[in-house]
Amino acid sequence: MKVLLVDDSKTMRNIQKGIMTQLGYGQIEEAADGLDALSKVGAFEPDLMLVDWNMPNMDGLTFVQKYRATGGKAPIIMVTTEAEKSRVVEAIKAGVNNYVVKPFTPEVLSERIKETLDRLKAA
Amino acid sequence: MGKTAEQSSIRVNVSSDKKRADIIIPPDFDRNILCPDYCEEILRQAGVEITDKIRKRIKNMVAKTKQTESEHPIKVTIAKATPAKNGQDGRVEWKVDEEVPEEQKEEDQLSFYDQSAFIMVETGQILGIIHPPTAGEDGRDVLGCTIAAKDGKEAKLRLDESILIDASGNLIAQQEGVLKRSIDSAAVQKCIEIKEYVDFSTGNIDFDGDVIVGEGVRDCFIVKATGDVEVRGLIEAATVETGGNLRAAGGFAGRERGIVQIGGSLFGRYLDNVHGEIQHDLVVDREIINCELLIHGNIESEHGSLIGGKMTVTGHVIISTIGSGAGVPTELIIGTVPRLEPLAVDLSKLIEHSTSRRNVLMEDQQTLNKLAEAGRMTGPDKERQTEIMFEMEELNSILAKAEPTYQNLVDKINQQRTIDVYVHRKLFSGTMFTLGDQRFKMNNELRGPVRIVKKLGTLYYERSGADPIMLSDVADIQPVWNKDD
Repeated sequence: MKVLLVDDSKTMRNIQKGIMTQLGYGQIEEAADGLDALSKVGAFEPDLMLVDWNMPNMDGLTFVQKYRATGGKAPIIMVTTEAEKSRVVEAIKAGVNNYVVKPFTPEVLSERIKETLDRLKAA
Repeated sequence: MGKTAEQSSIRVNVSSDKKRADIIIPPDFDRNILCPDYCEEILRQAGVEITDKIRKRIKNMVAKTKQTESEHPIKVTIAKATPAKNGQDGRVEWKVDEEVPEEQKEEDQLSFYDQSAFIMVETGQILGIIHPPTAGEDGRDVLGCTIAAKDGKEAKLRLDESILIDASGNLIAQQEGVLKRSIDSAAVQKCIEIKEYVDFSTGNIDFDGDVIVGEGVRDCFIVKATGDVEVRGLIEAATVETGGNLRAAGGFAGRERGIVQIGGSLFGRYLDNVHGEIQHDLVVDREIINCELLIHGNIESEHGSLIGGKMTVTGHVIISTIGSGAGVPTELIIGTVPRLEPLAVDLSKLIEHSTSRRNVLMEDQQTLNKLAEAGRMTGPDKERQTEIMFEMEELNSILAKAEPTYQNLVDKINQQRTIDVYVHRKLFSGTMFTLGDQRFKMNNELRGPVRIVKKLGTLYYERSGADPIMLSDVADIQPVWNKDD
């Protein structure tokens, strides 16, 4: 399974990469912001994306909106510090499938990923 | 007197071995009655086998004779036997003797030390081929009788289970080793025996098995064996590496270039200027002079002397004298377990580093917790908190494995650590015992028998029936990093 990690923090991307590797996802691509992600998503064709909200150049929400507008169907999990309900609703309207609020433990992130993928299989 | 009828007629002469038949035509024989049929009949009467070839010869002979006038009898060999061809004996064609092409010799550029006199073979290698004998072809004499031919004989080659012959006659090595051949036998042996010296006649030795050297090992040569090595003479300034034991019956005069890597124990008459490592015990009859050796077992030299050099030993030491009257610096590093101690040091450093890092993270975590309680956490603070959580988990995982492992290692080291030096005759001034970071340098000699042991964290010497006395009473204690040593 191919996973695209979108976060401006190298440390966060490394943490997520470690978890993805433990879960058995070997094909991982990284992007440092929304623009970088848009340039890579076409060629890479990920099966799952973990996207941070607050990023320079293009934030996570704008990226999700633009990605969905091009017909992109890959499941997206927002990894963010934004816990306010209104913002969560905004993200889901933009096309995010699930979200994780920082700080999170590795267990929480793995759970969200499994939950997202199971939901899609069921659908 | 006129000629008899016999003298005027054609005669046939068959040789005694029946390999030749001649026709003899007298000079006055009437050429008009000379014809092929007549000659054929004469030959037949003599018992000669008439073949097409002979008929042709008769025809030619008659044609030629009719044209020839001669005063002497004409003698023509009209039939010859076909000789018997004996079969060829079976033979062995060895492939291991094939010449190395010149270009390859230049490429490899073997030194004279490396050019081995032994033929080393590997399991499955085709060593040669046995060619079967061929059958003989019978001959035929002029009378048509068979001349019997002999068939070839089978090649004589005695083999044991180390060489197999396959259906095609290939000789296949069943084990790795050295090929030993004689006129009528061959075998692959796991033991090389060198009758005299390891020198330019043998080259360096590198063998999977045992090696026996009848005489000695010359300077700068290398003997490597996966098994045991026995040298019945002197080992000079050479290198010996074994998977098993080394027996140096004639001693080892290393002259600062003697090197050993011994997988088992080293048994020797004496050692002089030898460096290296011995995985088990060092057993020497006489002197150990100016050697630098790491011994993972014991030193056992009840009648021997340890003079000069530095010996690191894990086990006990039994020796006659240590040092010399001239005060030659002789160091014995004891109570060490060199196989395990470096691992323990590395683990200890890892534990220290991880614990220290974890403590720093815990402090950061507390700071962030306070911010969270006050509701003043920013986005970057939350990210940092996530990072701290992940790193702490990783460190906890490392420490959970490293700490018990370290403890097990320390227990094993303590079990294996032996501090027991028994000196039969004398411990000379100038001898040094190094224990951990302390060096005890003898400033007085001690008569034996005396035993050096560790009690209450320091070294003592004891004699039979007497109370142990602190070694510091007869030795100066110096820290190990003291450069004045």
